[in-house]
Amino acid sequence: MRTLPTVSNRIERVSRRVLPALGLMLLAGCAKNAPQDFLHPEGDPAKTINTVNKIIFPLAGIVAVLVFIGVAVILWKFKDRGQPMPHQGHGKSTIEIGSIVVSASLLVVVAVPTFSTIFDLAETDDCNMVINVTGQQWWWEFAYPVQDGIDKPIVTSGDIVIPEGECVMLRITSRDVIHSFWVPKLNGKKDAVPNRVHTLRFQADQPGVYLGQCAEFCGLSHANMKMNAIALTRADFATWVANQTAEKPMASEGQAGFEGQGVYSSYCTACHQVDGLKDPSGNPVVAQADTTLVAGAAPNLTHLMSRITFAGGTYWLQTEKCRDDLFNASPEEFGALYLKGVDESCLNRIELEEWLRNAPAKKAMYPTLNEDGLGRGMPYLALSEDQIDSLVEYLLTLQ
Amino acid sequence: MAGAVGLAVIIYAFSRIMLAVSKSAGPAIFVVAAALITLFGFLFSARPNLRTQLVGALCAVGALIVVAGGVASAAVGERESLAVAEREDHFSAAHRECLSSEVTEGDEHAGNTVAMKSNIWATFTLADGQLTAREIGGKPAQVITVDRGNQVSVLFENKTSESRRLTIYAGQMTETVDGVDETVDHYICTHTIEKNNQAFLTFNFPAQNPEDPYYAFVPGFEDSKVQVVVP
Repeated sequence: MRTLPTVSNRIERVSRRVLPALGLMLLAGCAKNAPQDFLHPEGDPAKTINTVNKIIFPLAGIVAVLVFIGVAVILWKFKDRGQPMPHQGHGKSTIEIGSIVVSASLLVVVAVPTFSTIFDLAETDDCNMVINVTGQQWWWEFAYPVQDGIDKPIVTSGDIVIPEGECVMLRITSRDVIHSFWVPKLNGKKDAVPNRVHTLRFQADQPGVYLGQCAEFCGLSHANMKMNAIALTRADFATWVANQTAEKPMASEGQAGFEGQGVYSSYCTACHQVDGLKDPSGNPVVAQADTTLVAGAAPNLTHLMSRITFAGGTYWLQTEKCRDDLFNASPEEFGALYLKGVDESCLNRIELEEWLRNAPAKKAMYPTLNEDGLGRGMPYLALSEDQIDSLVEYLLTLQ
Repeated sequence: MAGAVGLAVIIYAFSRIMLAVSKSAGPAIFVVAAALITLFGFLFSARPNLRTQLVGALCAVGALIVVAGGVASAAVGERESLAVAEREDHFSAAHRECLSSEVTEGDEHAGNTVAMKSNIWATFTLADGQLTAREIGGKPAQVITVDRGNQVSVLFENKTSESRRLTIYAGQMTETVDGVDETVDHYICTHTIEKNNQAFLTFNFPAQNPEDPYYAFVPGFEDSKVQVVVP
C-alpha cells in the first residue's frame, strides 16, 4: 500500500530541487563576463541610476529581512499547538498607525532621490548630438540627422556609434509594435512606441562595445533583437562619420564583387538600400521596403562590413578570434580595430552564408506574406551556392 | 423605445444647430447648454420634493427649444464655410491646393489618432517671412530628418499676419489621368490657418530618391524652404 508523503517529506523534496537552483542564480551574480550588468555602469546616466540603486537596494534588503524575520517569529510563536481560539478583537491601533507611518516614511526616502533622478535624466538640453532610433520586428535602426560634424544623413543598424564622453540625445520610436531600447551599462530602458517619440540621454565614458537588448516582448524574435553601442574617441568618431558619408562607387566589371552586385540588385534591393547603387539607366536604386514589409523598412546595408553583427544583432559578422581581439582591446586600441571593419580574414563566412541560404531557419520570423502582401523579416530566397558566394564577395566590399 | 427615439431626435437637432452656427458661437452654445443641464440636474437633485409635473414640463420645454432650433438650423443650412468646403471637396487631401496661398476650409487630418497629434516630430514656424523647423529636442534649422516608412506628425505655426498653409513637396508620383499614366509632383499640405494658429500634418514617406529631395515651404514664401530628409 502506498503511503502519503508527510508535509516535512514534501518540504524536503522541494528544497532539494529549489535550493540548488537558487544557489546557481546567486552564483550567476558573481560572473565576471556580464556585458549587460547594470550594476557596473559605464556612462553618466547609468551611474546616476546606480546612485539611486545604492540607496534603494540596501533599504529594500533591510525591509525584506525584517519582514521575513517578523513572519518567521509570528509563524513560530502562534503555531497551532491545540490552544483555544484567541479573542478576535480589532487589533492594536498603535502598531497599525506605526507601521503605516514607517512604510510611508520609507517610501518618501525612496521617492526623493528617485524623482530627482528621473528629472535629471529627462534633461537633454546639454546634449551635442542627436540620433534617431527606430525599433521594428526584430532589429534596430539608427539614423544620424544632418548636424554639426555630419553633413549627410547616416542610416545604419545593429551598431549605434557614439563619441566617448559626450551626451547624445536619442529620439526613440517604433515602426510596428512596442519595443524597448536598453543598453544596461549606459542608461535605463526607454520604450519605443509607434507614433510617439521618446528622448533618452546616452553617454559612454570610454571607447568600447556596450551590448544592449530589446527589453519589451515584441514577438517571435524578441530575444534576438539586440544592439551594440560603440563608443569611439572624438577623432575616431569623425573618421567613422567620414567613411559612412563618403560616396561609394559601384563595382565595375572585373572588380571584386561585380557579380554579386548583380545578384544583390536582383534579389535584395526590394527591401535593402545600398546608397550609390544605380539601375542600368543610371537612376539611383531606392529600396521599396514599404511595399514588401510590415515595418516598411529593412536594414540599410551601405556599410554592412563596418558593423560587428548582422540579422538584427543576432549573429556576429566577425570570427570569434577577431571578436575577442576587439572586445579585449584597450580603450586606446579599440577605435583602430573597430574602424578596420570586417575583412576577408575576419568574416564569419559560415553564418553569413547560412543566413543567405535560408534566413528563416536562422532566426524566427514571419516572412510569409500577409493579406496585404507584406512580410516580417527576411524570406527564403532560393539562392544557388554560386549566387551566395558572389553575394558574400559583394557584401565584403560594403566597408 | 419612444424615449430612445426622442433622445435621438434631440441629439440630431443639436448637431444641426452646431453645424449652422459660426465657429466662434459653437463652443459658446456648447458651454451654455452644458451649464444649463448641470444647473437643472443640480436643482432637481437638491430639491427632491419638486412636483414631477414641474420637472417634466421643464425638460419638455428644453427639448422643444433644441428641436425647434434644430429645425430652424436645418432650414438655414450649414454655415457658409462648411457648405463651400463640401461643394469643393476641401476635406479630400487630393483636392487641397497645396501651392495656393488662398484661404480654404479643411480639417486638420482629424482621422488620425490622438497619439500622432500628442507627439509631434517637428514644429515648423513661419515668422517674418522665414520658415524654420525644430525637431523634438533640437534647435531651429533648415533641415529635418524623418523616418522612412513611418507615420510622422508635424505641427505648423503661423506667426505672420495673414492666413497661411504649410506645403511639403514629396517627390514625383505617377497619376492616372483619363487612363494615361502621368508623372506629377506630389504635394501634401495643411489647410490654411489664421495668424497665431497651428495645424497638424501627418504623413508617411517611403525612402526618397536622393536626386529628388523633399522640402517644406509656405506658398507665398517660396524662397524660404526647409529640407525634409527621408534617408
